Amino acid sequence: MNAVLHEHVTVFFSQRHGLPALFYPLGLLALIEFLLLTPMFLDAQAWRGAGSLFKLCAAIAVVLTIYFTLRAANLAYAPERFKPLKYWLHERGYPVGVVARGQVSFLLVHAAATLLLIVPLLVWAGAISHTPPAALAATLALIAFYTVCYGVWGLAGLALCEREVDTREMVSRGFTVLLMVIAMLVYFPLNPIVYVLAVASATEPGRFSIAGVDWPPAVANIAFHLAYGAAGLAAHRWALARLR
Amino acid sequence: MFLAAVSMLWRRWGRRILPLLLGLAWPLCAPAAQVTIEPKIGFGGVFQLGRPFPLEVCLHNIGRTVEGVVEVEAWKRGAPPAGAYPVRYQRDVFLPSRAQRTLAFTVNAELLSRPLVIRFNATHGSASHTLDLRSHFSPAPLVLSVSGGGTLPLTSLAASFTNRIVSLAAAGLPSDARALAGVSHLLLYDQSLRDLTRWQLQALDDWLVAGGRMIIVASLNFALYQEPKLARFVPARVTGVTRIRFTDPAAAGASPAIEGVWAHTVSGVSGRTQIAAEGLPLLVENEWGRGRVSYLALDAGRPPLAGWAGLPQFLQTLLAPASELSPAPRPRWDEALFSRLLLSSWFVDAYIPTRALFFAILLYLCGLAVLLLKWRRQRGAPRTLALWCCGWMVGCAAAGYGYFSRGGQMPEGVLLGATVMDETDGDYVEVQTNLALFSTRPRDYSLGFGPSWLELAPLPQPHAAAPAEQAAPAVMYRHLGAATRVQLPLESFGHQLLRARHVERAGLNTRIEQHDGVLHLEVNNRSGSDLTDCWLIAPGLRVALGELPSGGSLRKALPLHAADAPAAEQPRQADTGGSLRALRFKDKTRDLLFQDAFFAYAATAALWTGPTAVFIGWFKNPQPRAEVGDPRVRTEQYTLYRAIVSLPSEDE
Repeated sequence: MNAVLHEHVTVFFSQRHGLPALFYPLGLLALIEFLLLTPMFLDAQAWRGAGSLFKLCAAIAVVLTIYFTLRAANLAYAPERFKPLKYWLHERGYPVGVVARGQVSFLLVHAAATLLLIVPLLVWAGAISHTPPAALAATLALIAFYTVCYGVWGLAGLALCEREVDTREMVSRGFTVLLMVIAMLVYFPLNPIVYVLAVASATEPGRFSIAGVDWPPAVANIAFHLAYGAAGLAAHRWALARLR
Repeated sequence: MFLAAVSMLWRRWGRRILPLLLGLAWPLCAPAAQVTIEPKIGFGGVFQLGRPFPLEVCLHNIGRTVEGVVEVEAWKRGAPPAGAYPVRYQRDVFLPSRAQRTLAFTVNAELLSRPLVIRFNATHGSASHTLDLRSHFSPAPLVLSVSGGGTLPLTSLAASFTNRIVSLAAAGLPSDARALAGVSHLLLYDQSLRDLTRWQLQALDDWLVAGGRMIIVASLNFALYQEPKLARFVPARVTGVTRIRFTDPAAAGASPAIEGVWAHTVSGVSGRTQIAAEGLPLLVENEWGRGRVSYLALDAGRPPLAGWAGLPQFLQTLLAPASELSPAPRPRWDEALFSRLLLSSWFVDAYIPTRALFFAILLYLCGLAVLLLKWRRQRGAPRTLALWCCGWMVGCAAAGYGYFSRGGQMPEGVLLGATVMDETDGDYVEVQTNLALFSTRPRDYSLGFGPSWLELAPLPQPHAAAPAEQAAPAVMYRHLGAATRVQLPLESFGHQLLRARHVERAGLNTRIEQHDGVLHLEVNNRSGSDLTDCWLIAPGLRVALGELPSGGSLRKALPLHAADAPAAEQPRQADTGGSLRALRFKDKTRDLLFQDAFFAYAATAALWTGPTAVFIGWFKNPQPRAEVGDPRVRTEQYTLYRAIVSLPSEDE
């Protein structure tokens, strides 16, 4: 196993320092899902409340998983327990690619674990809302996709400002929020929450038109996030190379 | 060698297989169905705009046998934001080769700017026909004249008579009472009804009950009027004919009498005699639900009466438009009220599994906590625990999905009916039914309303955000034999509101009278259902009358002045409207329906300008007014009976 991945998994899972990043989203989503079905939290259209349960839960799940994955990628939980990047690059002499692969693999493991934990809650919400299975599967896939695409910028932030824990967290979150807002201003469904809401309710948002070419919303959204994720990976690599 | 083998095969199998192959190939070679559509609209090509009318679609098939669907598309004028929306009527048809079939529809088209489209759709061939309605409509109700042997001189009616008179054969009478909604009067002269079907007679009966006017004019063939099918409408027993001396009652002796006029001799008059001469009732009127049957015992189609100059004027008095009965207050029925009704716990608990979800989440978290504890105490290999964890998550997700999507007692839909029965004259009640169909799944619903409904209108959904085409209801009336069902496709967590109206014999009779400051109430219940939560409300009076069982009657004499009434019966509000608004029931749904639907302030405010007395009672186990025919759809029905009577003011 990749030594970086092994160290991260040991600290996060075996030593249980990263469990809050897994159980906070689970606990929060469970609480919100239950409250959404409680009559006192339902409005005058309560009889339709169950119909929009999955949409709301999916939107909240996007926010929670992106936020906690960014934190996990930033090694915000017990940062003193992780060996610094210079240790891997200089003392152990690992190439940049090995370190990058280890960190990205850890990101994938964390995203998969988070998603697995919240999947039952989302599936139940989908069943209560009578969401078509295709929309349910597409929503779950989108949440995983967004989690990874936004999470790699957490790794980039870590590589850029490793010493200042607070700064890198602020930079990662600030950059993510700023990008979400800018993307939303350019084309509303580029925002992951907006697009997940559309997919979960099996509706088609308006098409994206640029330079006289019409883009289907799915293509526009996925292409944008693929580009964003690839840029994050490139930034991560570049920052690691700079440390070397 | 090869040829010999082929020859042997042909001899052995060819003769058997060839007819079979030909038989199989025949449908491929046969000509496709060639269907032409020939419609007959309204009565003699005329209908009253805005009212349902009959449409006969004659299909001629000169091609192969075909089975398909005939669809009629008409446009209705909807309220904003939906605007005009199409309504479709469908009927299945089987057309043998070289045959013709005639299908009857009752269509309600409210827009002249859009044509009526008739389509025939089948697997092998289709046809369509477009009908411009602008040359067929009449703004005023029609008068139908059905006569057998003789004719009535109706053409010389005064110019002020604007209604179109349409002559019709008895066989042309529709089998659906709704199709007669645009007809004000039906004139029967010298006409036998013996060839009418049971459905045609039922349609006539329902139309009369709903407010139609039938005029039966006597003829020399008095035996026609003794036939049971016609005699049931004649408000007297016809025994024969005689000649009498007739004087115009309007002229009051100013015009000379007409000698030798043919008239029926009758006995057992069951209505009010309006005109009589020589001891014979000549014009008898009988109430028929909200409608009326007038029987003129004079033969107006034969001399000497046919040549009388005053006859058109005399006939026109019979065809005078009926004085409009004060309409019963329309209950309020909209989305806001429906939302509040559905917030009641019986409904929300039925399909929102809050409790089940709570326990599912608790169980899931407990399972994870147990696994976490095992991991912390290092009981078991990490890989095994990780596998257990994954298994627990996947298992919980699958089990929960199965339970929440299919399990439990969750209904697929809810049909809520809120009906108010208004007392009219006699044993008849006007029934206004408000329906709400709510679906928890995307599916098609088929609603049945029984045979006698007269009006059925879906209400557009006023979602501000929804585009117009989504707000318009997609309603289809499907004719299945004599019954008509309404097809409604609904999305998941979608709903549709509908209103229906009809007049029926309920077996409930209420009389409220005021004499010397005392209010006399008499209610007879022969409806077959018990009435509960009965109340009498009048100015300064509000009395709980409890239950009125089926077959029972209630008689009360109550002083109208609050000072004379027992303390418990004295309302704070002196007027009836105020007393009604202060009335509360134990059942919250009844409370909501009573206050916000049946006696909504805006709808009933005009009623309380003068002194008014109201008797109300809820049906204990009301029969559903509409059915979906699916046990997975929960049906809830609330029915209120009310009698609203204006009391004489103090001056009167």
